[in-house]
Amino acid sequence: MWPCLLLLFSCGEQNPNAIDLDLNRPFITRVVPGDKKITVEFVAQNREYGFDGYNIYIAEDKTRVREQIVLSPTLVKPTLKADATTSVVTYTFTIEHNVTYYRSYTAGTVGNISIFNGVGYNIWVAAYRAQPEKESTYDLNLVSVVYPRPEFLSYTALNTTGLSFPDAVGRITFSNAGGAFCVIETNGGGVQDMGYASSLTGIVTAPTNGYSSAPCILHAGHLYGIVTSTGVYAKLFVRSVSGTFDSAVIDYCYQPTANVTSY
Amino acid sequence: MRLFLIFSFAVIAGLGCSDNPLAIIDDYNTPSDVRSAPSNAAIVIDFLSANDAVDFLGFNVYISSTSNMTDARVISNGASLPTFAYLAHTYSNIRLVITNDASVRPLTNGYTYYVAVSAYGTNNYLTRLFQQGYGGNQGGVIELMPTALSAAMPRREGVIVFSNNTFNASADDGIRYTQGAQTNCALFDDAGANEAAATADFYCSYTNIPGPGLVPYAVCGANNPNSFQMQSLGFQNDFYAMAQMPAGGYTAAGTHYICASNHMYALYSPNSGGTYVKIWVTSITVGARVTVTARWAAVVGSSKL
Repeated sequence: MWPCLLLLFSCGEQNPNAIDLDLNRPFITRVVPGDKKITVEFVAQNREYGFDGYNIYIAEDKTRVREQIVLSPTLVKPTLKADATTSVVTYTFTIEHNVTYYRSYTAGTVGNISIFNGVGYNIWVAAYRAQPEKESTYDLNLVSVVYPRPEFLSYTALNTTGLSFPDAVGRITFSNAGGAFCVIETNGGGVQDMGYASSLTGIVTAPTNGYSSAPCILHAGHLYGIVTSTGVYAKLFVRSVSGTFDSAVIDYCYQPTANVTSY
Repeated sequence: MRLFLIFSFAVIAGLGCSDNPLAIIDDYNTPSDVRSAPSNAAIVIDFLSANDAVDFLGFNVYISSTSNMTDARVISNGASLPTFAYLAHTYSNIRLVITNDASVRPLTNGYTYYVAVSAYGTNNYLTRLFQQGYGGNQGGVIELMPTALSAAMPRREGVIVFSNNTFNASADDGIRYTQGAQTNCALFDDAGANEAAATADFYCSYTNIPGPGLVPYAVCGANNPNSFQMQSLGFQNDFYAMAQMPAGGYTAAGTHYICASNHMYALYSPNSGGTYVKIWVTSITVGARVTVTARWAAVVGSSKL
């Protein structure tokens, strides 16, 4: 056990700024998968001497997450500059395929990052001080995993059509039976109405239960969860439903990797 | 100068040969992502924490009736602080439940309270510096006052079990909301009226669908006297994790939603400046009779419940 207090005895000038403080650790609150991109949302409070901002690390292998850092647009650390603050602040950073830069410490390379749909990426955020260089303490529990997925925006669904996720095994069918525009999963999976949302990313973790094989009425502004018999999770957001219930404009996405609830 | 590198401390003190003692306080990790949910004469608080410091003792919860915390009081644990002792240094999702205590912190249903959480600890060295006039903290307290507030208005809640035997297009039993001195939901016996005349605020119904067969639906009675509309919020693990009811998306009374275990439903009525009811079906058993167990909470003038 560390002692509660450390006494420093020195003769000469005492520089309190040279004393090495631990940096408070940021917490990831939400990681939003996109189409070949990832948006990291985290909260933090830091005002340690020399505090510079936050470094975001990304890796497919959770145990090697510290080996590849996301770089700022000017290719330097920290990933995200930030000011010292006494209150908790929410930060957002988006990592995008072929746009965002990274540095690999193992390969010694710098370049555009590759983000593939259906692949799991582990994300860790560290508070950072440049001089002398230091980061907040690493903890495996602070690493979040996210799976980017393809998405299709403003798709017009007709009452005579359907969609497959990602193949014919999982399929949904639209209909307008009974004076409403409905969706039904027709091959052993299910649908559920997850309620009012502002967009397709209102919910980013699929519920693993609660799906029904019955037709589900589509309401404008609602988000719907879908699971296929093979464990593929999909969701759709209803932008509008036509007054005659023969079409609806939807945004939808599915997670290509089965049994992964990140979407 | 010799310099010791240290980790996981809240206070670092230095004594120079000719210098005054100095102390640098390393802030504890502030509780983050603080969320509150109202309960019955109680408030449920969830947040994230990971504190390394060895002199960290736990969390203080502050409560106020105003959003600028003008009458903020720390909730003491008996005579001592912190409010909740918590010595683990690992990353944790923490849930605290603040209950009504009429003498020290009344939590009255229908009143809004603002809560904040801080990380708290003490270090005797700071007390010594204070006593010696070097500017240490009185009582040796290490605490960064919280700025993130979360509002919650406690309200009544309960559990209702209703059971129907002829479930085809029938609303035998359901749930009816009433607003008296306090909001309330109770078992409503519709005494054989059929679905078209459904006046329950919430009930379950069956429809026989080719393929899936008999499918139970949750319905807000088409003729409910409280003018409620409804929507499904889908599968939820926790009655308190989903505290904020949606601002929109409610559909006309009589609309059918899938009824399944752990599904949550939000009811909204424009009456009384906005009345919300949330219903969480904890079980549904289908047999000769269909029995639904549901938790409910109701509130007037707030969409958070």
